[in-house]
Amino acid sequence: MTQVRDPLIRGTLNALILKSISWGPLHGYAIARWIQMRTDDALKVEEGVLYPALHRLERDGLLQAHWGQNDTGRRAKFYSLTALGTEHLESEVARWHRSSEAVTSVLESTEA
Amino acid sequence: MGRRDRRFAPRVPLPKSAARRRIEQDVDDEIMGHIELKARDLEREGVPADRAWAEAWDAFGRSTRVEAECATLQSQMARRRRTMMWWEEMKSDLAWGVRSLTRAPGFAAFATCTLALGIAANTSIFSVANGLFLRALPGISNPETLVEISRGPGFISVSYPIFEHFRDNAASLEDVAAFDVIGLAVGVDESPEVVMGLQVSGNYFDVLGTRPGVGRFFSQEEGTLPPSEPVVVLGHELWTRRFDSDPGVVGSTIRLNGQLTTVVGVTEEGFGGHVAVLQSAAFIPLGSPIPSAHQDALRSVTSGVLELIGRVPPRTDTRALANQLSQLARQRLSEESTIDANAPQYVAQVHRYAPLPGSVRGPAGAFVLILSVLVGLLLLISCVNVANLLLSRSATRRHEIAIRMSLGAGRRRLVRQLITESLLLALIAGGLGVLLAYWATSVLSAFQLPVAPIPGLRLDLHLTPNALVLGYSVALATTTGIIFGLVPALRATQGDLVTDLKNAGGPNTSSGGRLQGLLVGAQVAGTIVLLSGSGLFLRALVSAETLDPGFDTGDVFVAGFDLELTGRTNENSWPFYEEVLNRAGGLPGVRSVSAAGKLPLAGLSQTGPVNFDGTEPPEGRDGFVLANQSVGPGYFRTLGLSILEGRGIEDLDRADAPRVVVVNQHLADRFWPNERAVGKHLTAFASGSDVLEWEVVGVVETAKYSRLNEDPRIFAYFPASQRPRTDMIVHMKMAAGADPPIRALRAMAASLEPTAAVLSVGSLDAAVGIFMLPQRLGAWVGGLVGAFGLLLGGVGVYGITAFWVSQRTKEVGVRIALGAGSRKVVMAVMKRGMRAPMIGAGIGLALSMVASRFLEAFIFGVSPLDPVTFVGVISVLGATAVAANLVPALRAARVDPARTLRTD
Repeated sequence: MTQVRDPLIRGTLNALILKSISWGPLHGYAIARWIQMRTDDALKVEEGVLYPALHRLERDGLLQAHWGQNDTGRRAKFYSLTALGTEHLESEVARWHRSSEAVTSVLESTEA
Repeated sequence: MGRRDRRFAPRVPLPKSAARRRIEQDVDDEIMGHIELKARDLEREGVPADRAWAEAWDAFGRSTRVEAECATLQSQMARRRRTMMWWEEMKSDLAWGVRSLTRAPGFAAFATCTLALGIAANTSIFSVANGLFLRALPGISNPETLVEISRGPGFISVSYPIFEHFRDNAASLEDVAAFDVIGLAVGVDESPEVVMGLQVSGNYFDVLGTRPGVGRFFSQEEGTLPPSEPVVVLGHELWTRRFDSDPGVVGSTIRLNGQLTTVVGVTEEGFGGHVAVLQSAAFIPLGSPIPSAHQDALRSVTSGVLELIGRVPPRTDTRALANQLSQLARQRLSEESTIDANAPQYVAQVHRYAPLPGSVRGPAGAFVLILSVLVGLLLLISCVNVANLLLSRSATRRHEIAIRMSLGAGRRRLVRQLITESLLLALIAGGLGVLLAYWATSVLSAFQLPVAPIPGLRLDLHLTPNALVLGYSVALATTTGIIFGLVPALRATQGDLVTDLKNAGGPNTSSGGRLQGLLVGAQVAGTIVLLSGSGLFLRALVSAETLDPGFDTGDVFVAGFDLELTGRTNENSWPFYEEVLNRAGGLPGVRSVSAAGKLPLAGLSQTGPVNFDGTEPPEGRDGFVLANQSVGPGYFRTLGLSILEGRGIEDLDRADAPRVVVVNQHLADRFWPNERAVGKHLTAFASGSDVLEWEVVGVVETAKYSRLNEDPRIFAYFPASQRPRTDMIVHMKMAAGADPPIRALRAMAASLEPTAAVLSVGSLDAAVGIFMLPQRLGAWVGGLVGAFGLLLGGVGVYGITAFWVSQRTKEVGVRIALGAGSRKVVMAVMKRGMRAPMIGAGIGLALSMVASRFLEAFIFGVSPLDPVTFVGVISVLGATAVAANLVPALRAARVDPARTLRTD
């Protein structure tokens, strides 16, 4: 199981978080679960990293938060995208595609 | 643990704020929710309950760390949001302010101009204070450890032997330098330029801590007596102006007072001596062989020719130093048997160094202080004016404000908005004011005396605002904005919502009336103090202009010479002047010509002991002190002074003729009452043990000698042939309208003495005018401030009173509707309306009478309780207040009562 310690992956954590809530507001646990499920348990987001990342994104205005209830009836903080966050997500996705294509083309190149 | 962990760990356990506690609670809730959900899911997957919980907990591991990090991020976010909101509000407040000012352009223009005038006046005066007292002179290091050393009361200079004794023996002085002002004729060719310079001890530059710009300063030999080869250090300004900044000048010789002198160096840029206002253009060593009358005086122990400037260790007690120096002086003086070493004039005085010369520091400081108070009052009156305008605006704005409040705007927020508006106004006014002050101070800085009272004296005023002054103006404008904005803003937002919404722009209620009554009173009081102060200055000017000095300055032209600059001494100077007078008498248009050692009113030269036939010297003294001067033949004729008895000084009073003197009437009446003074004798100017006796040959009318308002004093005129001096001023009485023959005079002087320069030329009117300069300046500034004060005060008193009365027009309408006669109603309104101005006037009068005592030193010839001034001020303001009451009251009485009542 890969832990998100690796700086390359860590840089993409923000993009993953933004993506996870692009369909609607989620609380922190649901975001962690979503990432884990989507990567077929390949990426497990550590709580100690997830929450600071969420709060940093909120501070920087990419996320906004509101308080609601989770399914156990407890008070929970739901995150959703701001306009700025949406924009950032789009540019992150584009950037990811560009760099992964570049890396792929290098790795799959045959001897010239 | 990594670096990040430490960064987010709480460093110091500070007491937590409520906001911080709420943030932590939220973070805690969020994390607890996560743990619960995770434990539940683990249980569902079949993990036993206790292990499921432990695992969920453990995922957060060092949970306090995550929590702290999250909480910190949250508070950062909160702070950012607050800042952003503040900016947003600021922007909207500014936009609102600009909008509301442009909607009332008349108000904005009036308020801006009023405040700009007030701020300009204050900035200008502060610039002057800064230029005279605060600004450090360039090139002087650590001015705080410099001291000035003099003796006796009133900054008396010391002698060279005493200076040497101090320099060699005073333990608490690190070093001490001596200097003396000297006129220097810097002659490249036949047209020497006369400049003011300093004669200094060799260590002068070291004591001040300045460095040479080009070349070097004086060497050990050059700087000590006896004099060596003549050398000079040029001031940077003179070097630039006269020698085109040519470094080749250093090492070459120039002519200085007729003598070839080697230039050894140039001062660093900006350095022109340690005295503010009077810039020194060149520096020569003490006792330099360059001709100067001071050379003989340098050898005397008791003479007063040198001023001293010393360097002391930090935190030196100046009083202890003065005691030490006094003791040293006594020690040195008692070596000479003839001197009373304990006399008070030998007690050493130590003052902290200040750029302004000691003798003018006190009066100049007092003058600037008085002006500051006057302009401060002016600004205060401007503030009250604008505050009142804002108050009356807020009455019409109440509706708008009430709507905003009902829409949920907090009071703080609205007050902030209103204050932003007034700050905006104040800062615009401040900007304008600073521009005005720049203009005013640059005009002042360029000021030069019309006729220089000291040869070569040039004023070097740096009065234009610098960073300190600009800071002061910004602070002043901001404070002003808050002062005049706060009260109206608080008032505007404090009203009762419901009534305000109902009466759109209705009249103020009683509390507003009380506040405005207070403003009216304050306005009247402030204006009275300001006007009486500046009124006294104006009256003093008028009285000085109309005082009879006793001599006639009309059509008299004066030209000053100083033969010291050509190398002559007192003893061989008179033949030159005698020849100049003889020839000048024949020039076209000259009616009468003479010469004198001093201009009328230029201050007194006194001598003593003097004794008179038939009068014993005063108890315990060896004679009287007598003010006197040396004059040429025909002096009384030239200045229109009547000879009451005997004759004046004439051509027959030659150097080798019997010694004679002409006294004034006051002297004759005092020493020889009911007797003929002519034929009596007095003794004066003892040289060694020889007592010189002078026979009185005439009595002239008593004139003014040092001040226009002086009491009659005893005075004597000695023939210049018998009391010669190197510097004399030629006086020429011209035929009415004739041009002074300056060119001919110059040519004549040059033919007699090639290096003799005419130092200063001008009409005697202008020359005497210099001595009235403090009064004139005071009257001008005072008058100007007073005129603005009258304008602003008048407008303010009228505006405030009229507005206050007009708010009660409803009351007038009601009374008239109820059948009261309009005359009676108007009287009733007047009676109430005049109360505040009258109380204000009483307070203002009392304050002025106290304050005017401080003006006493500046208003010659006028009593500080001058009735004309006070009655004048009271009548002008009284009339304004009555008009301000009467006009709106009458207007209200004329209005149809039904209409007044309906507007409600």
